[in-house]
Amino acid sequence: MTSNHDPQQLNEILAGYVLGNLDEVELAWLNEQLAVNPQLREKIKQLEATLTLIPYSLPENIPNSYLRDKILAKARPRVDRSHNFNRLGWIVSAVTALTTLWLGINNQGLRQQLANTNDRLQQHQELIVLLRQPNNRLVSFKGLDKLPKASGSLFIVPEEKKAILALQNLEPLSGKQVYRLWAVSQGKTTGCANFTPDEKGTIHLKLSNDALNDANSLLVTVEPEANTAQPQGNPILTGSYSL
Amino acid sequence: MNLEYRDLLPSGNTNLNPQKTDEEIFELFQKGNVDALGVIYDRYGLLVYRLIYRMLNNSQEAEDLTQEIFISLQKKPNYNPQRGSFYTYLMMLTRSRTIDCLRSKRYQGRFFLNRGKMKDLISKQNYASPLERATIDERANQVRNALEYLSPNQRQVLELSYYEGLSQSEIAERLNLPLGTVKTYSRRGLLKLRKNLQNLVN
Repeated sequence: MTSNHDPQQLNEILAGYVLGNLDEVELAWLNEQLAVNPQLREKIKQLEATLTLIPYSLPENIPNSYLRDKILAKARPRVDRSHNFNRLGWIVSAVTALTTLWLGINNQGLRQQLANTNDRLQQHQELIVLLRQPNNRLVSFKGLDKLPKASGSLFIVPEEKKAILALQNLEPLSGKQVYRLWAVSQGKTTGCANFTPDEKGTIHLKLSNDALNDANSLLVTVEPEANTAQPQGNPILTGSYSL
Repeated sequence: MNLEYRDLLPSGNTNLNPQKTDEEIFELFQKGNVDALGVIYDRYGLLVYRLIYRMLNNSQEAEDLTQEIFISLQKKPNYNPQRGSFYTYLMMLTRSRTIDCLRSKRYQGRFFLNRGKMKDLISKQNYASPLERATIDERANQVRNALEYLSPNQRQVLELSYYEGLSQSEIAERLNLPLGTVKTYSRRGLLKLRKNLQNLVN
């Protein structure tokens, strides 16, 4: 191969290179030419592009129409699908967690309800036991002038040394004032309990005080403070034994 | 390759402006825009399929390999814009992969069995848009005319080389021609083709 090539010879070598049919001598010569004239690569590109145009002349065969969708479906990143899955999984987890939390809270609520119910049942059972005692006594309370609407009762169970006080229509008190229950026996007044009513003016109180057992009568006063030794206020309710 | 028009896209993906070049579309695809692969397929899927079908003579295998080639653009995107147009790369890749497939079939002795089969029935359903089809048809006419300008020997040698991946020695043997003559036919045929397809090549 001479270096004094004519353009036609060079072009044929370039075409042979693109077609892959150069022998070793031609290839070596072309490499030398490419080293000194890199612009020849542009001609190679053109010949390669020409060759790839040949399929345009092929008969008009057409693949199935779903091929495009099939390719795109396969090209869609699996990450998206796993992301969707993760998202779905996250949602499921979140719902599960929230449901668990709700059930937990609900369970806690049910437990509390059950405990309260048990307490009430126990109270009722205790009350039934108390009511069955043979020597039970009942004291009725009536409001005096200052608090005529107030009323209530005291249920005393001597055997158990217990009593249950239930009053209603009491007025709210201010400051340190409290209502105080007194047992009067043989001229002696004994303080039994301090209490303050709820916002409805009622009070339910369980008592255990020996003085109640011996009392002839009972009083409720308003005291300036709790645990006064003797009544300082006037009686607002008096109680007398009904049973 | 200098494409003269771009079809309006069926999708509303504004990044895939029809005026974008193949190279720009492929870059979008490499960045994760899968719809860009749809644009590439709309532009060249038909040609890829036809080339493979011409070489393998089996529509199912042609579809499978077409799919494989388009997916390989995602898995092994070896295209380098410095080395030529995306179309040239795609068709060279297609031919190279199909020749590998042909050689494998020849090795397994299946190729010649397929050669004797009746051509598969091909669906004539048109999936490309009318404008895309018009472009393909227009270029097809140009290329067919350009091939008509070659001598029958030049055309035959080029086609045997291109579509069947035969070496020059194999072609010489098949056509009972001297090796040098076969080389000359193919080289001069390619040069004439380039001259006649100058507007498409540039």
